[in-house]
Amino acid sequence: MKNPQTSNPEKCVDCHILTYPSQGFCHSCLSENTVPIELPASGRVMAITRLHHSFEEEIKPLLPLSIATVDIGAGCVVFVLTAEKTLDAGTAVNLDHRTWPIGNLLTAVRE
Amino acid sequence: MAAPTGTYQGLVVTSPVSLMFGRFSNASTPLLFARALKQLLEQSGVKKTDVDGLAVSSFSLRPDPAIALSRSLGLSLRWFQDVNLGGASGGVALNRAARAVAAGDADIVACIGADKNTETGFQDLIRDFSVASRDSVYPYGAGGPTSVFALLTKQYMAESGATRADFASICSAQRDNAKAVPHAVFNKPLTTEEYLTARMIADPLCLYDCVMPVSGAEAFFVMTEERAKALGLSYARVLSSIEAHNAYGGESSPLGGGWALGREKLYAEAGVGPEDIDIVETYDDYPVVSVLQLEELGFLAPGKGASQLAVSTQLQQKHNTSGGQLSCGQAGAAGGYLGLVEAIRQLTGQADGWQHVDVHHALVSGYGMVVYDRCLATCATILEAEG
Repeated sequence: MKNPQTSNPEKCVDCHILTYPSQGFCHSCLSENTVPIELPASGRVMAITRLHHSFEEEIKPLLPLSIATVDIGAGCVVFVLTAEKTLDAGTAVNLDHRTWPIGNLLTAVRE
Repeated sequence: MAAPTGTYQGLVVTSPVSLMFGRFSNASTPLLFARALKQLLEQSGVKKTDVDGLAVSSFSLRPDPAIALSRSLGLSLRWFQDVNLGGASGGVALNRAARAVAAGDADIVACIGADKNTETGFQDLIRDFSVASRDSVYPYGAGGPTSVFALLTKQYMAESGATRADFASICSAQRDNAKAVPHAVFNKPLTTEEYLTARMIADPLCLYDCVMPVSGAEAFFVMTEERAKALGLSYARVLSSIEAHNAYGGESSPLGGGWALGREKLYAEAGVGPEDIDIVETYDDYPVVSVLQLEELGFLAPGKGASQLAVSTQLQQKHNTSGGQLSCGQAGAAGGYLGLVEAIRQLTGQADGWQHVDVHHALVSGYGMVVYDRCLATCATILEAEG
């Protein structure tokens, strides 16, 4: 598996819309005048799953892994790892990049 | 209900072909297309030189571009379309082929979906399915589409109150529908207990919620009714067809597909409503996906679909009448043709051993292409029996 590359959102200087994952232009007004911004430090859980199957041999010993989708606002959703086994939808979480055995990945911690 | 507006007037689908090549296949993808085309020609009596349009769907043609098939298959074409939209491939291929025939751009269009699966083929596909998926989803456990649909199912369950027992009933019912289907890879009964105690893949999804990748091909012809009659073919009329792509792109929730946006047009153009549909074939890579289609298309109440479908024997029997992909497996993009080919088979009375009676109208819907957190392409088509 390639080294994970979690991108930051980008903000359009012209229309202020966020695009995530970043792509070098605004998905709304198509302007190329965008700047990377830091991921919001928090968000709200949309859903969480305990993953028991992986296609990558290096990940299998780490299973089960908890993966969640987190709404960071402005219509943007990020995938994260979390040490939590369960999180209710709507739970506020803090987000940052942490080192896991499979790379430096976006991680959610209950607020 | 408004009278049909006639966009698809005089256009038909015919000659349903389903070929199963097992879980893994060493045959090349062009060979699978060749076998499907050969079967289409043999069972229809259409001359190869009369096929002047081709719509194809496949993930495993790479590095060949889809147009390479025209050379591989020895077809000289007036019209060609590469419709690589996963679970929406069949319905979109039909929609565009029908419009091409109506416009006079082609007379007979072969629509074929085919994909081979190898021991590493599925993994290779999902690892690099899209830039967004490769960089921002796959590193989080490398669970493939099951991760995404586990999260989507979890969200649906939290919002609707649906239970795993509801999904057990839905999966079990589809398995029952497959018991006499020769191309089904799973046709033994599935009990609720088997489902509820099955190995978890990504909760709440267990083994029986996930389609098994297989090798296979699905195909049909689109032509005018006049041409089908002249060839002596059984056919089904195309009454209406809709597409939606990135329907709710600005919303964080991935549950919307977009069928509701075109539903009024779909039914009005066909001159029928959900209550007139005798069989309904939904794309079912995971059972929640079928529920979302049935809700937006007016068969089930929004947010209540899973629990309603779980107790509706009548709808379960007329839904995914071949058992769907949960029973027949997912042959890549050909999985997006499975329901359409099954509907043509039922409407033309060719489902030997699992034929439903009095099938006059069928609705087929599709859902495909998870490049990040949701599917981007959806479609629906209403077909009518000849008689």
